[in-house]
Amino acid sequence: MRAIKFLILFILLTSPIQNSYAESAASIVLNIDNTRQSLNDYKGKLVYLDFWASWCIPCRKSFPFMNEMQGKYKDKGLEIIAINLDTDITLVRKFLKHYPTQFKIAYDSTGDTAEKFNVKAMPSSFLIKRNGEIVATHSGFRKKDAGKIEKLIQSNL
Amino acid sequence: MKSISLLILFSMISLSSGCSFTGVKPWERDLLAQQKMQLDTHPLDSYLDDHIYYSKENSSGGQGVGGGGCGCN
Amino acid sequence: MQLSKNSMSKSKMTSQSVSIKKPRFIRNALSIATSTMLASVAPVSHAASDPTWDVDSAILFYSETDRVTAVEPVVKVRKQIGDDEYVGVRIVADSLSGSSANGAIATSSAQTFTSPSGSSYTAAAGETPLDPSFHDTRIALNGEWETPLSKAIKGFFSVNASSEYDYESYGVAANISWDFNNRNTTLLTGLAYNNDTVKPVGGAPTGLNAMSASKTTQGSNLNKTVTDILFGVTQVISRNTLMQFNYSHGEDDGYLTDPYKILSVLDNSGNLITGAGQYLYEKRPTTRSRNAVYWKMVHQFSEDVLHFSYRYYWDDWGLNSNTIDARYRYELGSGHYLQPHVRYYQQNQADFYHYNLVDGSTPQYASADYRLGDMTTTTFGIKYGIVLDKGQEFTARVESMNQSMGGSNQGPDVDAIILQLGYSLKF
Repeated sequence: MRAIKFLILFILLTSPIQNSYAESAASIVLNIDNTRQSLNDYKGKLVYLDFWASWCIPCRKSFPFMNEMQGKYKDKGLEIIAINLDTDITLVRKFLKHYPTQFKIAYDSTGDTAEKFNVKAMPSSFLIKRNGEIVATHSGFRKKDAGKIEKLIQSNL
Repeated sequence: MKSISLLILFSMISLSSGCSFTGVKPWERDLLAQQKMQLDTHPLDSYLDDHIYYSKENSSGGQGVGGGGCGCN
Repeated sequence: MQLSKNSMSKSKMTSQSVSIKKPRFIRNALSIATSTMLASVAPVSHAASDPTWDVDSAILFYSETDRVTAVEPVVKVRKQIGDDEYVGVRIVADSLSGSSANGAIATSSAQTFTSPSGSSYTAAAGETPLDPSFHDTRIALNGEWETPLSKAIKGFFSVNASSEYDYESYGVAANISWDFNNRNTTLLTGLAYNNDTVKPVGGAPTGLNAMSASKTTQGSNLNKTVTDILFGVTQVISRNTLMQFNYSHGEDDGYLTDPYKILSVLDNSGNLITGAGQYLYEKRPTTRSRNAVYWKMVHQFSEDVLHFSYRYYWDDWGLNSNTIDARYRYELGSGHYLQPHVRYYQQNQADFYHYNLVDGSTPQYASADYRLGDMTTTTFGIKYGIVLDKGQEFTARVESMNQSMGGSNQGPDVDAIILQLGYSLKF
């Protein structure tokens, strides 16, 4: 069963796919700051996309880490965008009061973007190179992952 | 053998739920994450009740294993 | 460089998920339409660190009308020691006192018995004989360790030890759970082994021998082993519904008889026979093979939650039972809740259960313990809880339990009131 899944994935991946940033990233629309932005707007930056929700406990653990990363590498071109998947906005407001952020928050209450990224766990993060290519994905968050993720960010800056 | 019994288990569950179970997306687990939605919300209550009914009745098992015995019969 | 590590999402029942290992490209257009909010760009502040300690305590009061009363305090402490690793300890003290039915039946004249400790007691005419010297204090310790074994597999290991003046129990258990299907499905396997020593006061009487002060015994330290295995599957049905289905099997081996219980022997006219042999010590088989199938459903309606379960049990003693249990958590707002509870249990007697023996019969096994007979236990209860900050919760519950006998058991009902107070804290 698993072998079949990987086979399909392999076929899809190796088939001719547009890999230009403009074509693919432009299609991902993000709701940030009351505006519709496109992932394409962040071309040239190293984007760390993180899917999270207020009820997810490991997500809370990742926030201080993401704040630290954003502060450290903002000048070098790191852009962290945390995409929220709550269906109730009041819970998000409450959460952000306790966990203020240095990075951008986007909203995806219908889960459409999460669906497109094939998010398998909460939280899930995707590191996207300056040219739009996803270099790495990570599911969940534990303290011991912090070092590895930071190294990955550094090597892609 | 295990796959057959698993198949039977799954069939029974889907029949009892009256629909096919596709589960939920990882981001749709907000309600399931709550303490009151866990299978055992108050482990001490369960432990104390199990002990009472083990002493006063003659059935055991079903929910879990491990726990220890007592001369409470 | 590849980064694909899996870790647990904090929905309690399941652990890890599959990560996509190959880099891939974004495809397909998609539009998102949701409400918006200001991005907060604030100075870094330290969020409160997550609690790692979980303390749970309760005290239970149990009281049967005219019979046994018990007080049982319990404390459990659990600590997170690693990313997904926990250890815990639970200690229980259990103090029982009061009267317990000895298995003999009420007769038209008074009856006198000698308790295992040597004192004597009398049952008036028409009164079910109860041994009033029933007292026991038990201490039980339990240690547990929960740890991930691989990306989707979690292990839960425990040891337990308990001691009371006439009984000791030591055991270990291992539970392994495996999550898959995006953590919507969890398979569980559990195995437990307990080794018990029964140390009856005055020694264990030879079964089906006449009750007497100079009884022959099988010794004072008898062994009993209890082995259990469980297979279960938990399935997320929808955003607000969860189900579990388990099958468990157990094997008991050794001294399974109650050393303090007797049977009355009647003649053909229904009167207690005279002379020695009017009361015989009970005798149960030395093995028991048990099975149970269990189904549970958890469902949330707006804020309220229903927990419903059904269990069917059967064993090779001929005993089988049906248990239905339902709890409905009704949210009152501001963290208060009320939770009514109903439990219905119906048991069909063991093959060797007898209300009394008839003179001349020579069964291989026999017991008049009402807990092996046809019986229905009905419990109604209500719990009140208040959830405060810092993971604090105060709870109080009261339950009324009624056991009525059936089939050949003409004995009286047993009624009990249960009261429990609880307090838990996370820090």
